[in-house]
Amino acid sequence: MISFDNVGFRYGVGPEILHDISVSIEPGSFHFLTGASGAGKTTLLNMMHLSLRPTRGFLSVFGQDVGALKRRRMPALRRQIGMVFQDFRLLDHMSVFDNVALPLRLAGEKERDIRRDVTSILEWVGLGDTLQATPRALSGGEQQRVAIARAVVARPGILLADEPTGSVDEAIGQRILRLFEELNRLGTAIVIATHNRSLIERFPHARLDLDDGNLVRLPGGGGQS
Amino acid sequence: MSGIPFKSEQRSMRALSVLVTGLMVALGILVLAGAATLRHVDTAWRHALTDRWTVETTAADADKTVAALTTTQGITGVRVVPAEEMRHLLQPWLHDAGLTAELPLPTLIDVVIDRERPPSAAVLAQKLAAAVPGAKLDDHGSWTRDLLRIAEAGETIGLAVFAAIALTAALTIAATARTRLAVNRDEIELLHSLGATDGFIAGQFQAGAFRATVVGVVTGAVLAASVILGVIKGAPPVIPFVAELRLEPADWAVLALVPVGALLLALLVTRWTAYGLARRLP
Repeated sequence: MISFDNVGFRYGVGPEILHDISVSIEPGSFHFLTGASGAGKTTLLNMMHLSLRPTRGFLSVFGQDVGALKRRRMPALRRQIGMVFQDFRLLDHMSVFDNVALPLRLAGEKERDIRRDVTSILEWVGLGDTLQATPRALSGGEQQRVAIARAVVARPGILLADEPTGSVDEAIGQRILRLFEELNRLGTAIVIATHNRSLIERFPHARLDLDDGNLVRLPGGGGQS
Repeated sequence: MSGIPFKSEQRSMRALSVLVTGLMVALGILVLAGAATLRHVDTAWRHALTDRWTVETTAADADKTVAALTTTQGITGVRVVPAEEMRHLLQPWLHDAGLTAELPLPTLIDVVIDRERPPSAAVLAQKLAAAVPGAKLDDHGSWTRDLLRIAEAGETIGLAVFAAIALTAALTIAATARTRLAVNRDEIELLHSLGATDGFIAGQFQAGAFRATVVGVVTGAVLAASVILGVIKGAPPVIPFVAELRLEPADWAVLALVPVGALLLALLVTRWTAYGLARRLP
């Protein structure tokens, strides 16, 4: 699904911040991407999301060589990737419904199907009664769940989440991770970047730990919640 | 595909957009109407003056002059202007019937020229000089050429001004589209990240600009049509020298294309500008 082979990355002419990354994200897998703040987690996620290209090495996303990928081929690939941004990136001038409906509208779905899918996904994240609210009217945790709903509504092959529990308390953080597990059971591969080690210790999924630009694969936590 | 609502612009910004589009369309139509009018004036003068020459002679030489003229190829009619008719023509200039009656007048011969095969004025003048010494040929060329040149220049300037208006309109529309894109930069980056193509984003901006453009174009067209009809109705007293200010059906058809062209121009420029800028955003 996503394959890194000796990938290195630097911003412009700055120092290399990711070194010799080699890892494979398989369909249906679940990974936590951990590391201290500034370790390069967001950069690695952005490379998976095609927002950044490797400065060396080989990166393949859904079988496409990202280094040689033409701009016109990116939209179709991006529609197969769900992304939960650290800052949510919800559009404040649109309702919760319209925010979540964006990926479906971009994919050209019929309005009847959009209404059904968006209503269903918002109920799944526990926000079925906020369809017409604007994001500003919601709490941080609710906005996070709207962002998750938008990322998964088009049933992507892989979901990337950047610090999805960063702005919510422990209980809501756990609830969000449970949502991701449910989604994973339906076949979506999950990669969650987080520095909240205490939270992920409760989940048994594999960890990819970034340390000083190097990626190390670690075994999962105990899985007690 | 359903529309993606971008951030609303300020109402004043939208009103400015409508105003600029309307003024550009109105100015464009008026300038083209002016150019068309000048073309008709040019044609009318050309026909009225260049196919009529005048020969001035004396009453004694009138018959000889007419004989010389009627045997010249390219002349389809010769008529000695009666003295009474000449006095009638002079009346508005002299304002004195008694003076006009006493004024010694030359004999004028009105010569009708074949438009398709006109004779050479120089050759005819030589022929007249040989046959009737003292006869003078006036082909009106000395002053009609200047008038026609002025009319042609006016028409050319009108078309150049129209092109300048179209260019200014295109640049203004592009600047407006850039402003709208700058306001919605975050939305565009998000749409890209969700899988939107640059063409889709450009199409959304085009659709967003459509309503304001239509309102501006229609307003400008109505304004220009009102001005043209008002000028046509008041033309004879308002514009001396031009006997009749009028537009042919073909002119109206061309003028009707201006708003349509302006609408297409606005939509295309908006799309191209949005597409170009969207391509530069991640």
